[in-house]
Amino acid sequence: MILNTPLKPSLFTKRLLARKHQTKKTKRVIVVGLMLTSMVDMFSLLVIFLLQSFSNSPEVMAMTKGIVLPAAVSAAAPIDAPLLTVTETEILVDQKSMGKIQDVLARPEALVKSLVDMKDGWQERHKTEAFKGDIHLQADRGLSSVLISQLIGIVNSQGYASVHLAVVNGAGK
Amino acid sequence: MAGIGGPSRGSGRRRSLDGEINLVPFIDLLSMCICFLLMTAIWIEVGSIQLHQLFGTEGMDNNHPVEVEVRMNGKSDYRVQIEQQGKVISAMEIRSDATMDAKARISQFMAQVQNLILSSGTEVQVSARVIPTATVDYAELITILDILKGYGVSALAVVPVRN
Repeated sequence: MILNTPLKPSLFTKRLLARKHQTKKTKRVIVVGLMLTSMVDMFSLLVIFLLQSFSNSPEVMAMTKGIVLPAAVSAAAPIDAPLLTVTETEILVDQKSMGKIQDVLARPEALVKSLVDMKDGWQERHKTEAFKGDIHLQADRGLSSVLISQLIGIVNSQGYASVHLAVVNGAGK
Repeated sequence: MAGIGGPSRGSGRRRSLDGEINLVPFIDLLSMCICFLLMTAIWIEVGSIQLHQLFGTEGMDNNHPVEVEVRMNGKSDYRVQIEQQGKVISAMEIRSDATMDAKARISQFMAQVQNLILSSGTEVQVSARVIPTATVDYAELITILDILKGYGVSALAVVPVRN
């Protein structure tokens, strides 16, 4: 049916507005606000916490790949000392290979020379102090205890009386 | 764009004092800091058990009137003896059985030794030496040293043994 009455501007506007409302209902735009202030607060707290917790670790021992350390509950913090590493196959002094385990035990001259050099180097750097004889021994948990005792005997014979056996803190298996 | 700032109030002639801080670079920096710290963190806490080797060294001392000797005969098979002024005062063969593990038995034995020392009223320094054997692995040696250290043994030593 066609109305003869002309459309008044007010009615036209009403219809336009009604159509606009209809389209608004169907297409709802969702804007999610991100609380940046809280996020920055959280990030700052995280950074402070991480810096705080990692700053009080006194000495860090270099870990050799492929070594599973034994666990111990009553372990002390590591100190600044040379590192003797025993993997399943070879022996290293401060990450420098001395050869295969059996070869070194049969002919320990290279290991002994390295230990003597380290001792002399320490004494040159600390002329007024007496040699403390500290050394770290890092060995795989599956190695024979006799092998470790023999190595302890070798380092002991070169004046390293205080051997620090590296362990993982905690009650592991 | 991310920023902190509010609408300016007051008359149009006055210059707004509310500045905008661009938070995006700040968040970038913090994220990078967190990533760096997490990646460089050391998650495994490594410690050490100190041995005072008393055999043939300059540091040899005889200030330990009580000495504990743990002879490892095999896996979970030990002989523990207590010496006072060089004289054996107690000895015990320790093995695992159905009721108790050998390590638990050593702990029990060491607790008795500790109580005995504490009951004497004087502060006595205790040293210990462990004699390993080829059938025992390094992890078990460390467990024994750990038990001894846990019961207040001040000087630990491992006796070098030939194959």
